[in-house]
Amino acid sequence: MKRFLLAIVLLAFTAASEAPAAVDLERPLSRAVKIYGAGGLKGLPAYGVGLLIGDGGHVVTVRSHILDADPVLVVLDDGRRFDASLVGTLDRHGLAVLAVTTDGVGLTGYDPAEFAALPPAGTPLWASGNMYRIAAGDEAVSVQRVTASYVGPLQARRGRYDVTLPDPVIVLDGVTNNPGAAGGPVFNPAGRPVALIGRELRHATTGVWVNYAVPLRQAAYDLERVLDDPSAAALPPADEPEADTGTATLEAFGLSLLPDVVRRTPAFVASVTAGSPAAVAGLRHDDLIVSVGGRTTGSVREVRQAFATAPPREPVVIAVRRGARLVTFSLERR
Amino acid sequence: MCVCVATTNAGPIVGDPGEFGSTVRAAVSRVAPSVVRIVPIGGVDAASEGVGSAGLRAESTVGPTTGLVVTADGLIVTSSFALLGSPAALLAELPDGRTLAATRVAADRSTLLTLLRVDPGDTPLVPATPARASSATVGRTAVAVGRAFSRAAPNVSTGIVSATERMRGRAVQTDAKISPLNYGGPLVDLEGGVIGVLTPIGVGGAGVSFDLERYDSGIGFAVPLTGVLESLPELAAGKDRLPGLLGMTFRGGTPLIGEPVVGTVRPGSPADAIGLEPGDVIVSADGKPIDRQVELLIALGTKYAGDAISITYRRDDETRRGEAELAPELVPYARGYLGVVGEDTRARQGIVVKAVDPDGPAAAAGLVAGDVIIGIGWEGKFLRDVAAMRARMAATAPGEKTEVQVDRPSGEVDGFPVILTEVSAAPFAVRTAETPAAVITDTLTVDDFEIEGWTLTPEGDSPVGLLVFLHADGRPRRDEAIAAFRPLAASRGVAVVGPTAGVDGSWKPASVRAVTAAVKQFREGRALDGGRVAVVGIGTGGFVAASVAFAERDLFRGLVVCESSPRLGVPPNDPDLPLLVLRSDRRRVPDDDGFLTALRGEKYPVAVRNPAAGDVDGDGPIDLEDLAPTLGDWIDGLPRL
Repeated sequence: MKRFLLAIVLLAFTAASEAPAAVDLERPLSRAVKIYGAGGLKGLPAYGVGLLIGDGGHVVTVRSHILDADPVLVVLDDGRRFDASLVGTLDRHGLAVLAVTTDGVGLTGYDPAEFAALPPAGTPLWASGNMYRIAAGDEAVSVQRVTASYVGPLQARRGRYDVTLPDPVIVLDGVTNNPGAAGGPVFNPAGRPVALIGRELRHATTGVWVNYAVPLRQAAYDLERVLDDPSAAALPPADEPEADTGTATLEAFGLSLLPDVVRRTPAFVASVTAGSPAAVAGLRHDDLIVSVGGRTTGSVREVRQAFATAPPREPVVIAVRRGARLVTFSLERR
Repeated sequence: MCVCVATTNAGPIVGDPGEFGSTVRAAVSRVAPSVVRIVPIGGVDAASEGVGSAGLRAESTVGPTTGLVVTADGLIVTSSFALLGSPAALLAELPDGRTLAATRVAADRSTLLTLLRVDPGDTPLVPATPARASSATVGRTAVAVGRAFSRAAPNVSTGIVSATERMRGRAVQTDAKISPLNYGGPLVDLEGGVIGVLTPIGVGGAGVSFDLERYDSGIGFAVPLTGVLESLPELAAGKDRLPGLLGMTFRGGTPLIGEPVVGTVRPGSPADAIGLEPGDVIVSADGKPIDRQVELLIALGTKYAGDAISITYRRDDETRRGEAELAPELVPYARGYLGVVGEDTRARQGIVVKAVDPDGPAAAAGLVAGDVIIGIGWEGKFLRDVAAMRARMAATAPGEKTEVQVDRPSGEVDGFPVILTEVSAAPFAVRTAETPAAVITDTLTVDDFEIEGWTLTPEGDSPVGLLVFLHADGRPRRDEAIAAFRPLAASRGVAVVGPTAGVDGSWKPASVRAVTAAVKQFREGRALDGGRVAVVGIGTGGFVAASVAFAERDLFRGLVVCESSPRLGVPPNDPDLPLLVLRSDRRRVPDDDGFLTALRGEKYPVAVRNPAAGDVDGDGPIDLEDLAPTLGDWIDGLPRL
């Protein structure tokens, strides 16, 4: 029997939608898998999450210490358990691909072509994760409703080390980066995968814990290549970038700054060598350098770094605060 | 209005979940031109250096934060958090690509917002538009906007309005994620109208402060923009707005359920000018009825120094009314001093004198140990109730005349006129117990903190005094300290807790929390005799001791600092929470010692125990065997009147 439903809808005066409507996550969540691996001994969480991709039993997750175990254990939402080993890592994206030992069982996942494009800030998202190992056995991972807070590159730190993620990431406004959430797929309002939750990081300059996710779409091409030919993945992690050799020093321009005594010593000009490029340009004692080459510099350390990495053979443009004004100078090279 | 007919077969009706996102994005793009990035240049990095109380509480770095344009000609409001690290300069990065130098104009120290000014030249700024009043309704969607990550794009976090008139009426509460990434930015409604400016406002009162610990717990605050705009003329003229202080405390109870009975009144304060006295019951403030303490706090929360307040109160059966202008600060508090250590006695309805300060006014007047104070009078009127006597004493000032009535051991009742002096912090002899108690030595471990140490506890379960001992770097040895303090524990009924600094043996700013946790943990195991609680620190331990004493003002009554002059902010003295300070060194302490000068400025009683005559300018470390007996007398003498 066909039923008719009569509904009288009173439209509010504002067309604004006060809350996001529900999204059907049954199928997306059935493709999120729990991963158990290494880490327990060091007091780190030994579990995370991944997303099934392709139809050959592959899982994409974030690169982390969990994968130091071989094999790792992959558990589906229906409780089926499989061994899986690392196929390779996509270092540029911070992602890793696992191959599940399926023993002939078919496991269907997302085609990387289905990954959604980067959502603009303000988009509601659904972030999944196995935080605090709450989903045991035949349970799906849990989901949080969050908002894409910021989309772009991120300077962060892990412990005392600076970590810069040059490719855009998605910062979320919920507390998603919990133990066990790493690798959890994040879905958009259409239920399509957008990103995987990253590891715990602090924002480099504010020290705030940042909850971020690594977008999948940018990695789709590389992931497809790995699915086609697992040997395409780069196994060894990239070397640490070499220290800047530097193309310029402050002293070469005739500038000397206040001694760098604390982490954020302001870059006040202590003295300017007579006849130097800085003197010719018009810099003075007590000018406060606030930007070098278009980059805001908050401290002596940042000013030195910016000078060291300024493009060679070009004048260095700096801005100083003099009284209540910002004044720009171009320092010629000799 | 329209009538729609919908048909359906099965399954849920799924709307377009993306629509909410586009509504949010539209709201953000409407306010975005008014949201600027504030970049501090230089300044203290609280995360790595941990200085002062701010550094101890905020374990975050003060980095880029957010500001909100309020006038086209260059006024920008931001959270005072942006200036927490005392940066050498501030830059405002505008969404249109310009970077301008920003100067501080004035601050509102009640709402913790700071007004900045930039010179926009010929291109005016885009001021934010206030939301309509109905947007600040509990349950309505609210969007927090910041510009901390990059100039190019604002950062967004969504939630609802959780409450209004929070934090003593000063703020709207939201569950959108509020953090240093959007402090100073707007909380907007779905039309992009600004409900308020985000700031980590704390509960405050006299010590209005940041509350940074809540930033990821779903409790954020925004100061209503309409109020900010009303205060603009005053702030733009360069005048800081200060919270309005009344200068009284309540007697007992908690703010939420406590009766509004006046406990103490600061001499010379607006409360004093109104005519309030201890024991009066507040009936209304500015015509609004006051039934509980919190209602007066809320009435004061939105008022500023210079604002008038009218208070109606009840004394006995009479209703009175008084009016005064709220004060920006209270005259540092110094109470009057009788010079006795007393114990309340119910049996004889008075205060038994246990010891008399030989240099105090009571001794001069002829009071002796064993007398029972049964009344304290002013102008011929005597207070008889023990609690009332103590409260009245706390509200006296040095130089005040009073009359003390005592019941003498001989059975006579005598009256003594006394002129009160300033409180002395000097040690004097207080009799010890006749039979020493057995003392239990134990190891101290504190849950969740890398701190260990030792404890000496008098056996039994009667309430004990408490002395927290904080060593200098690497000395004294644990066994030396235990040997020096054991007699004190045995004969004075004082437990001694000796935390030792973490791995490398030296104290760090973070140790303050660990020591505080150690003290709290000890209190859970043994009842304390609240009047006799002190902390002593030698060398670097002196800094931690002072920090702990100021952080836990309701617990500590005494602070002893040796071989150290801690450089930290001294909070104002508080009539309800007396704190005596003793400085004891082997060397002579210079008269202009910075810490002692700061303490005297805030009217804390301070005593210096200089070296004995034969040992002037001794150079060695402090001798605990010499100090400990004096500390015994001093701790017993802390509850002095």
